Amino acid sequence: MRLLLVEDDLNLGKATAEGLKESFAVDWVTNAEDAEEALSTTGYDLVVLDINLPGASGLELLESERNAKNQIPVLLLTARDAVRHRIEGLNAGADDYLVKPFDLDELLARCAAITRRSQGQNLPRIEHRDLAYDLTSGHLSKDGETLQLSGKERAIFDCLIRNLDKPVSKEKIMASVYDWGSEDIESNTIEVHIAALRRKIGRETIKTIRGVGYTIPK
Amino acid sequence: MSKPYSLRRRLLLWISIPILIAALLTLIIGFVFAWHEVDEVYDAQLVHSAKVMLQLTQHEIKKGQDFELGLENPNLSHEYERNIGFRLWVNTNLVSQSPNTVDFKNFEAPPGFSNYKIGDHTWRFFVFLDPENKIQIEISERYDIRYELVFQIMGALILPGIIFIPLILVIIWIGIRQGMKPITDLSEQVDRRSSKDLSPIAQKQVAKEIQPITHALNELFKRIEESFSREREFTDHAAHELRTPLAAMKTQTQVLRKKAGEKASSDDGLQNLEASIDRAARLVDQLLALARLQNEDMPKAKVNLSECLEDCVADIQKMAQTKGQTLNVNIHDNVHLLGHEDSLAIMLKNFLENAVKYTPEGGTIDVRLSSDGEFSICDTGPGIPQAEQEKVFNKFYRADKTGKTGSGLGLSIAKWIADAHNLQISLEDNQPKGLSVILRFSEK
Repeated sequence: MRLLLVEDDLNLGKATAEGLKESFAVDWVTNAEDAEEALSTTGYDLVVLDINLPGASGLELLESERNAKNQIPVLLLTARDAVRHRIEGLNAGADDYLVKPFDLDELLARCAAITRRSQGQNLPRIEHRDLAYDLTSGHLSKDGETLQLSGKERAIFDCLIRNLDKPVSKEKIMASVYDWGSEDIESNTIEVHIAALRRKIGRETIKTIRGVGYTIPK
Repeated sequence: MSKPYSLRRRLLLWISIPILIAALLTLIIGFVFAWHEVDEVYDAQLVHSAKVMLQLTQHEIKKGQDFELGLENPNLSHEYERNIGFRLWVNTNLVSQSPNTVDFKNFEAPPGFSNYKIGDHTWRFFVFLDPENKIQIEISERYDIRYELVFQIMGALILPGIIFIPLILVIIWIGIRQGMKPITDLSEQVDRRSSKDLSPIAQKQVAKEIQPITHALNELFKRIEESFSREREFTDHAAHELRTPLAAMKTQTQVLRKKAGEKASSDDGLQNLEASIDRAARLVDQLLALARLQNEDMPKAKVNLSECLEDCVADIQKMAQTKGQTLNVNIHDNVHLLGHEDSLAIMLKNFLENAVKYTPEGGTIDVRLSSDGEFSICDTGPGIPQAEQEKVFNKFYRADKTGKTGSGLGLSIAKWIADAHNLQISLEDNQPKGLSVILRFSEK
């Protein structure tokens, strides 16, 4: 899944982006204008938005996105914890609110919960045949045995299992797995990761649809 | 302190005293003039009577005839008549006199006007001497009839005054009351406001003379409001400036801890770092809470204390679990209180966090809220010696000398909030060991 982080503090932005990369492909921008640009060109699953930004504030960005009927889930990140600020943020259309300094695990859990809800999936676990996948922790097991997946393998599996029984194009997989900073993007890297994934979870679980992409059938 | 003077009384005095003085002067001047005129009219009357009498008698005297005035006609008389008398002498012989002058006996008044007291009454005399014919005419009149007339004239002046002056004063008083109404209205309007209401006073229906006051008040309200919002902005700004670097440190530390993974040696140091960052963050939280509580409005509403306490307990549950502590929670449902929910939550959380912090691993914490609103937290920590129990509510005082945790602000903030809600905090020794914090909510 692909996430846009909007945070102007360089230290916090860097640390948060690094922390979030555990579960998401993360793009990080430092102001509202860049965020708007990124949102209009890339399909994100979630925005983590700091309120206090240079220039237009996070709330203004959120309001303009909501006015433009953009339904993307937004988690507000702010140093202000007064109730009126929280109400302001939620009323402006935020899905959740976290006060700095936050716990990284809590941020990850909340991000997972928001994306789950936005996909109409309220259960934190998906069970498919002999596989059990935890949407929050990214923990995958087969017949009760934990599978060790690499970051990219997990991201690809996550993308496919969330779109269960629906074909997912190679471009979409690439968009949700690779962020701007990724260096190893080559046309055949997805195939390499899919092959490795198939070895671990079972060859028939992921089907190739020629000319379209991949799917995990029911 | 000197008693404030009343504008209404001042106005009443300044208007009514000149009116009363004017009325009094009118009365005095009226009396003087009336007296003067009455004197002149009555004296002229005396002279006139003497003249008539002289003319009546002169003719007879010239002829040397006997003098005879004849009998009085009893039908021709007036009430005042007995107050007027006459005597007539010819050649020093008293030839005629009116009945009421018999009492005068041998008394003879000097020529011209004079006053003499004869018997009980004062008389006014006019004596005319005609040396040629040796005639002496004396006309006398009771002096008190002049008083009577003057007093009647004065009465005619005073009587309307007695009726109208109080009436005028009442009208003035009502007028002043009406005139002062905008001022009393304004003071009532300001009085009725809540202490935090800083909205301007409507200028429309205010009298011209009062507009400078309302204008000044509105200016003052505006300035206070501005300084409040400046302080709020400052607190917000400080929150941002302090929390953001703390967040960066914390997140970076957590990322490093995840990367360090199983390498226990480096994780230990990072864990220590994270705990320090958490402590700094808590200190910032407490300072901000204190600043905000002191700057901000605390509108009171009905608070479900039971739910508020349950939320706070849920927040500390994880902390207590990691220390292996047992939380015994006994909260009576739907206990309500008039208060400010956010600050009550800060207070409850401060007490709960302290209990968890100071209770050793595996200890027990009892949280109880009874139906009558009594709230208590009993822990099995080290407790606080009696001598220090008063001091723990002071800012930056720390009962725990180990220097491990705590900002020294939590309890003073809690006390501040409790005071703002009329709540009583008492600290007691928990038996056999530990501290009991008891809060009594008086439900009014």
